[in-house]
Amino acid sequence: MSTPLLEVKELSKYFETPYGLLHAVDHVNFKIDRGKTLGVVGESGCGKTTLGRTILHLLDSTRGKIFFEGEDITHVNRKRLKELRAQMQIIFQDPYSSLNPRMTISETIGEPLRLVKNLKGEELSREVRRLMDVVGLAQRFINTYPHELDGGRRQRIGIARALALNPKFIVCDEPVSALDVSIQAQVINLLLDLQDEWGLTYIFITHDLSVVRYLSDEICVMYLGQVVEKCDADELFRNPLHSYTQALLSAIPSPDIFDKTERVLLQGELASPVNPKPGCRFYPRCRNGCEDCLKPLELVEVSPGHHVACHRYSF
Amino acid sequence: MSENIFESLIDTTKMQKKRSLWFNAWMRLKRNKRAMVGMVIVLFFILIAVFAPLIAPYHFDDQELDRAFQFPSKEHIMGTDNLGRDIFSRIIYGSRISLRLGIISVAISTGAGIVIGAISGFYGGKVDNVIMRVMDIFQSIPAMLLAITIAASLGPGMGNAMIAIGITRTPGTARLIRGMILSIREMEYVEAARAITASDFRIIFRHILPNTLSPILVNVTLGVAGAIITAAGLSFIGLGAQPPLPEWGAMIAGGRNYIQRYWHLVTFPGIAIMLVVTSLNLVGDGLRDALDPRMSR
Amino acid sequence: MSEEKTLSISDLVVEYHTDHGVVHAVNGVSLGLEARETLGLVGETGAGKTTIAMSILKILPTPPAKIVSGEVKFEGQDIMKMDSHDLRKVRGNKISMIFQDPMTALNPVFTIGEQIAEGIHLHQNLKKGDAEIKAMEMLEMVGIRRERFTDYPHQFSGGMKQRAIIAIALACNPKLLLADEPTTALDVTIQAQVLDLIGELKERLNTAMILITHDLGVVAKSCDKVAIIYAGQIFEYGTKFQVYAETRHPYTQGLFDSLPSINKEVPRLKPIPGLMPNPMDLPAGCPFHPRCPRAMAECSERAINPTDLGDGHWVRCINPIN
Repeated sequence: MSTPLLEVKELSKYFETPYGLLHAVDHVNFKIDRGKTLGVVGESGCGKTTLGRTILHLLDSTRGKIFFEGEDITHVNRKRLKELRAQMQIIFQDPYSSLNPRMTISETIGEPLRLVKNLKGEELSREVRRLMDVVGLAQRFINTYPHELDGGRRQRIGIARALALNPKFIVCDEPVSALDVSIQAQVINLLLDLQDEWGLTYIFITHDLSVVRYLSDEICVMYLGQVVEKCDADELFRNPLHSYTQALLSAIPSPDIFDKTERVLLQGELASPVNPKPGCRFYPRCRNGCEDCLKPLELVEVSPGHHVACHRYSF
Repeated sequence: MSENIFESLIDTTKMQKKRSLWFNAWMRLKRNKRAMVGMVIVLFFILIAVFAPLIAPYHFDDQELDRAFQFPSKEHIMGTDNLGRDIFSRIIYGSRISLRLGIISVAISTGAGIVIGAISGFYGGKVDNVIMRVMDIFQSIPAMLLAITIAASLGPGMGNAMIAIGITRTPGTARLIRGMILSIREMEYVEAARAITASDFRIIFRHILPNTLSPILVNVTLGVAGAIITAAGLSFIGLGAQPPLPEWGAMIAGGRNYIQRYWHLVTFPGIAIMLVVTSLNLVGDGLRDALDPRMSR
Repeated sequence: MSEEKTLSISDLVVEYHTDHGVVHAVNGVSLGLEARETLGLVGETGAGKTTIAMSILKILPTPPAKIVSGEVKFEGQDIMKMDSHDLRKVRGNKISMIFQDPMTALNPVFTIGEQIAEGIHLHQNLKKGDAEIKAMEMLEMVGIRRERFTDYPHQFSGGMKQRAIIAIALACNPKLLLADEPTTALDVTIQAQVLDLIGELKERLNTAMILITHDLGVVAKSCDKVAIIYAGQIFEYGTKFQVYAETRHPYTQGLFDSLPSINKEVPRLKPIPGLMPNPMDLPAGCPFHPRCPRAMAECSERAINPTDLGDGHWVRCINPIN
């Protein structure tokens, strides 16, 4: 088997807070093959955004290792980091705060080209125009400012900026969550087309399970910093094993009015990820909980490719 | 809440015409009557300062002792002072001094404030802590007292007064910039810049500081007003502009002994200070509303 | 009309007058709401949903907003003609509103209990003590323990804040509840809890509700009637079944096709091409015609009037699906 494009092993990111250690990302493991999409699903505060930032070295990891094309990139010097950044990019959630309001579209898209590829003048502007074309932005917007554009177009600028350096790998951090339904579909299709044409590999971070099913090959479900279930996208929807995944799936209001599946309502809300106790972090809200749940647990493979962290499945 | 909806409605409409943020701010400013009145007065004083030699009927230091203490008349519309100098001319020349004092001292404080605030806000941690505690010490001393102390230790004179006022105003500006940077630093576009390998320097100067421009501009406008008052105060107690320079505060100081019989010696420079300072404040407030529409209305 | 409707809006037109021009936010909306009914008002950003809700409470910021024409009748009385004294008796008492963002809708310097009790005290002529007892009952009704009565908003999580806001909104047994994207800011599992809670309380208190949302899934779970709104006009109106299963308007169909589904495998999403029109410069005729796959020449030539399809289902389209 070829080496996966990206692999993380026991990756953890803790934050010091006045109340104790906040376990934002806790012992996360996964691999992504070239050209595939890993969906990372979870609710706010589950650490999915921190995970993406840590992989890209926008945050320093606390523990664990990150491999990119087989190379250990957990600790790299500035020069190598600069080279790596050209290959690993990010698309942000908020099309408003992710663009500098004082820079025109061409300045924003052109910035990485100037900084990394040292393009100037005519060459620079040709490349900017090409990228605008790729993401479907009309040329007439080249000198406009972000505040003059709608959310969908702004998100396209963010995508063009991420594509400027010809990356192999892109972290998509909720790129469609802030967009209207009809625009959301346009951007999702764009991301899929780009993946086909450029052979991109994505981590797609979202809280929206319907979007993630549509885009992902494999899905990780996160809860309070830990991966609780990981498997093939279709398998997850067909056969969710973890109680949290089941609750999450049934909580999505389906636009199908004939869908009469019984909803599993979760009790309570997220516990604090500060100084978590050992054992299952979902236990306080779990309807299948038992004493065993307070013991430490690991992600186990219950069927080929289907991993779950729950005592009910570890024999 | 309502404002948000309203803004978002306008937002989708801005597609055709290219309009910069500044243009929109200017449109809003133009509707603010008080700010426009202030702006007209400020511009008026600036014009007076620039063309002082052409407007003033006399030189500011033309002394004629035999016509001292004249009340306003056709010849001297604001009267003359104890040395027989034309007060109107002195106020006109004085506008040069007051505006220059205000602008230069605010330039000093803004420059220093940007550098200190940017370092403090961007790097945070220990650096931030040390810098901010030093600023705390400065700010714990009443501003006027601090200005007097610095001006006195540097010695009397215009230049030293500017430095003293500049230093006095720096901590406030630094704090403002630091606060702005702390919030902008968390914006996703700063993270995006880091992801495309922008250096710290570039992030600060290209991505962060330009977005602090509007509050800085407001701060500068209001600051010039404050600095003019402080400068007048320093001159009043003899630490700022030295005779025979017609600084307005110094003119009041010179006239205060005669205030019971000759009111015009202090009244006209007082009015001049009041007009300039009030107008600058009006412009500053108007700018604040215009540049950040969410804060007003 | 023999029976008086809880709410009836007829031909509402609202504009915003801005520096850049006139924003046509609501362009002739007519709606009726029976007692205890839940209406889902579905549309995208800028469609005019919130403007409609704010017109019902007459809380539009004027200027820039201007109600050009229309009637909003609540239990037979025209809200547009009420003075501020009468309005105060209606707002928060007979009609109350839940806003989208639970983080900013509560005042941080008062306890949750005080904020619930305030409305009861103002509207129901109860003494402070009695109002507080009622407030505690409300708190328990929305599933928050009594002990949290003296907590401040910052001690509450997002979901609990939204529960508290629901308690405030329902404290005076309103006849009509306007819920503006009440769950958009919440996580899915919390959203499910809050939606269930709203539905249950609505039943118990006999409240009619207008649920404003962009989420067709939320509407499917909790509404009786649905109105699809686009560029300030209602495009399709009917029971949930009619709009979802017998979709007639191409825009409604477009919305459904844009949604990725968790139940079905779709090879590729079919987004609606183009963007929302500029509300300052709406296309002539049907505002959707530049994006519409079924547009005909006539669509751009004249204003389109609603067509009644029978059984209360109507559509504003001259070339509807089927």
